[in-house]
Amino acid sequence: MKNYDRARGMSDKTSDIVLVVICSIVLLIVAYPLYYVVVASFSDPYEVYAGKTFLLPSGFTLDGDKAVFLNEGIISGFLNSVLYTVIGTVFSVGMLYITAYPMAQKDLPGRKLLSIFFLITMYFGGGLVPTYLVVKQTHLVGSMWSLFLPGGVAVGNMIIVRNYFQNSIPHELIEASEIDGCSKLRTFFNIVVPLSKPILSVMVVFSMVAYWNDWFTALIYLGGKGTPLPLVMRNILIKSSATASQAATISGGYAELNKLTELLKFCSMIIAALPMLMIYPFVQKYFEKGFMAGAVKG
Amino acid sequence: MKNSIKKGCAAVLATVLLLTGCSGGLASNVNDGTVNSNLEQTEFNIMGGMSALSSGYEGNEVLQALQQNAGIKINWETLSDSLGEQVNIRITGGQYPDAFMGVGFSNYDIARYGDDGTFLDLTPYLTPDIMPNLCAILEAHPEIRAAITMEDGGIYGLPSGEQMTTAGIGVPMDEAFSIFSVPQYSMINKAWLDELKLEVPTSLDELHDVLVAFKENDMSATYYGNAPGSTIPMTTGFDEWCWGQNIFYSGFGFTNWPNDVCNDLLLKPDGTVEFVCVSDAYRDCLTYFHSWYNEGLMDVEMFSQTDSQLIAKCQQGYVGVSTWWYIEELMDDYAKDYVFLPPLTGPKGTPYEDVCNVTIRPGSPISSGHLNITGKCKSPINLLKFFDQWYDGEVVMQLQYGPKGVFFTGQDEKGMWLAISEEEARSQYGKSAGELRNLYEVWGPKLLLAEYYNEVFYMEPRAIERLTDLDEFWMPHVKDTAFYPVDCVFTGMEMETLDWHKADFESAVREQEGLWIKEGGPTDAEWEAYKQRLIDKCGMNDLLKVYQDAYERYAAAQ
Repeated sequence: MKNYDRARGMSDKTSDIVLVVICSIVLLIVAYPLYYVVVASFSDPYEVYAGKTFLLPSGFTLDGDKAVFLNEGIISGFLNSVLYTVIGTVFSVGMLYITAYPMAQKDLPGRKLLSIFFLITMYFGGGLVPTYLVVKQTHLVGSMWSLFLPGGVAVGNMIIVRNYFQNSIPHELIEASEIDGCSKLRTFFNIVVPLSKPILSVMVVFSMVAYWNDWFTALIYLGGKGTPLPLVMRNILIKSSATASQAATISGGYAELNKLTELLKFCSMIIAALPMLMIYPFVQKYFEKGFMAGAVKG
Repeated sequence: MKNSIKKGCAAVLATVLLLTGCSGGLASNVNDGTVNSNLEQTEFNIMGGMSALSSGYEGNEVLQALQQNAGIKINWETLSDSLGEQVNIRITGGQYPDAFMGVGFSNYDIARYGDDGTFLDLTPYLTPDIMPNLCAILEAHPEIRAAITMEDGGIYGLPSGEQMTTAGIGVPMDEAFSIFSVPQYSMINKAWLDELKLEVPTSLDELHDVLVAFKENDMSATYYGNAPGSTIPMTTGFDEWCWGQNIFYSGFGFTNWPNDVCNDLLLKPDGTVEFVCVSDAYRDCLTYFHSWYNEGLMDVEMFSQTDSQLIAKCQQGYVGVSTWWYIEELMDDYAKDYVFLPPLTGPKGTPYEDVCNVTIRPGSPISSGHLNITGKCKSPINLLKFFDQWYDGEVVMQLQYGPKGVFFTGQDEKGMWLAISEEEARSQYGKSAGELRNLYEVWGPKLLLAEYYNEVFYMEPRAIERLTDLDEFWMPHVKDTAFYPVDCVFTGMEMETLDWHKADFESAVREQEGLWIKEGGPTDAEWEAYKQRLIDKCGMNDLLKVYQDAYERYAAAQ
C-alpha cells in the first residue's frame, strides 16, 4: 500500500513536470509572437527586418506611437469604436436571442420554411453594390445604424444559439415554469436567459470582436463621419505610405519615410488588439461550456 | 482550369455590373456632338482623389484664384482612400457629381462610360473660344490629342501627364528620354572590391567571380564587422519596378522591365512586336541565373521580400550588389562605398559573349482619366473655362508643387521659377520640401510638358541628378532606343482582349520565370509546354496581334 502510494506520488510529480514543460512551451509559442510585435513597435523597423531584434528592442524609438497618438482622430476613433461595439453587441445579441428562441420551439408554425429562409442568406449575398443601394434607399447612409441593421442577425450564430436552447435547456423546465404561472415572456427572461449564460457570453465576444474590427462597413456607409478606430488606424497607415510612395517618385527620401510606415504597422496592431486582449480574460470562464454546448450537439 | 474559373467569375461579375449599371445610366445620351451652350450653372460638385497629406482644396489659394477667374464655385468632395470603390458605387447608383477629378480612370472605363453617356464627350468643346490654352497645346502636340481620343472618336476627359525627360538637363527635345527609361540602377560595393583587389566587373562571368569572393570572404563580417555569415552577395526583388533583377539580363540582350504597357513586350527596330519571354535568349538567361541562385549568390529571399526588407538588409551593410532608383537612398550610411555597376556582357564561350543590351521602357502615359465631366453637368462651358487655366505652365507648376511665394520663392534672370530648398522649407515651415509639396498638390488634369522644365521652372535637384546619370552612364548601353509607345490607342475589341488576357499572361510568365530561376531552367519538353500554355490559356497570339495592330495604326498616324 505504502509502496503503491509512493509510486503514484512519483508518477504524479513526473506528469506534473511534463505537463508544466509542455504548457510552458505552448505558452512560449503563443506568447512570443505577441511579445515580438510589442518589441518591434519600439524598434527601428529596418533592424527588425534585418533580424536584429529578439528579446529587446533594437534601435529604440517611440516615433510610431508618437505618430499614432498625435493624430487628432485617435481619441474620437476610440470612442466611436466603443460606442459601435457596445450598441452593436447589445443589438446583435438581442436580435440573436429573439430570433433563436422562437426557432427553437418545436411547435412554431412554418419552422422549417423559416429555417430555409435563414439558411439561404448564409449562402447567397446580394453583393456590395446592391446592398449599398438598399442601405441608401432606406436613408441609412451616414447613420451608425447602417453598421448594425444590415446583417444584424448572424445566421451562423443564430443556429448555434438555437441548438443550445433546444438541447441544453430541458423542455420540462419550461413546462414547469409555465405550470407555475409564468407568462411566455417571463419564462424567456427569468428561465431561458439566465440558463443560457455560457452561450450568451460566447455570442457577446463574437459580436464584440466583429464590431471592434470592422472597418469596411464603416468605410462604405459612414462617408467619413464618425470614423471608428480601425479606420483611423488605416488612414494613418495609408497617409504615411502615401507620403513614402510620393516621395519615391522623384524626390527621394523613400527609405526614411517608409521606416515610419513599417513602424506604424506594428503600433496599430497593438493598439487595435489591446482592448480585446484585456476583455478576454473576464469572459473566458464561460467559454469552454459555451463553445461545446452550441457546436457539438447540433 | 483555375484561369477558366476566374474568367467565368469575371464574366458573371461583369454582366451583373453591366446590368446594374444600366439602371443608373441616363435616359438620353448626352453625346450628340453638339455644344451645350447653357451658361446658368455656376456652382459645381466635383468628386475626386486627393493626396492623404493634402490640407484640402477649399483653402487652396491657387484653386480659389482659378475659380474666381472663371466666375464659378466648386464644392469639393475629396477622398484619399478607397477612391475606386466609392466612385464605382456612385456611378452604379447613378449618384454622381458634375465631374470626377484625379480618379485616374483606365481607358477601358473611359470608353465604357463615354459610350453609355455617363461621361460627356468634350470634342465639340475643344475650340479656341472655350479652351484656348488646351487647344494651343493640342495643336503643337498632336500626339497628345491622339492619346486621349477614344476609338469612337470621342474625347471623354482632359489630358494629364508628366513628361520628365532628359530634355530638362539640356538634351535636345527629340533625343530626350523619360526618367523612367532605365528604372533599375545596379550598384556594387567598391570598398569590398578594393579590399579584395578586384575590378568593377564588366561581364557576368566577372560578376560571378566577384560575388563568390564576397561570399567566401564574408565581407559583411570582415569589412563592416557584422555577424559572421551575414554577407548577402547580391539581393534584389523579383520583377520589381526599381529594385528588380532585370538589369542583369542585359548580358542576354534584353531587360524585361515591368512597365505600363505589357511586361516582356518588345518592339523591334523594324516595327514588329514580340514577347521576349518566349525567345531562346530568355530561356538561356534563366538557365544561367539558376546556377547563380543554386550557388547561393542570389538572395533566397529575392522572390518574397518587400522593399522594406531589401532596404533593411542594405542599410545594415550586408549586401554586395543590389538595384534601386538611387544609391544613397538604398545604402544610406554605406552609400559612399558603392558605385554603379554597369550593364554586363553575357557569359564567355556562349553566343552572348559580346552581348550587352539594355532595352528601355516607355515613360508615363498621357491619361484622360483625371478630369471627366459627367452628363449631370448643366453648363459644361463654365467648368471647362475653369480647367482651361490649368494648361498653363505657371499654373500647372503651382498645382503640382505649391503656390508661388510658398513653394516657389522667386525667379532667376532667365525667368525660371526657383523651388524652395530643403533648408528653407525646414526653417520656414518646419517641413521637408516634399511634405510641403504634399500639402498643396492637387490631383487632376495636370499636363507637365517636357518644355516647361526649360521654360518655366527647374526640376527637383534629385531628378536632375538621376537624369544626368541616365544620360551619361546608362543610355550609352542602350543599343536600340525603340520602345513600345505607351500612348497607343486600342479599339474597344482590343481593349476587351487586353482586359481578358493581359493579367493572366503577365502573371503566368512571371511565375514561371521565378520557378526556373529557383529550380533550374526548362527542359525542351517543359519549354514547349510553356509556350503552348501561353498561346492556349493566356492568349499570347491574340495579345501580340493587338499590340502589333495598335502600333501600326500609331506609326501610320505619326
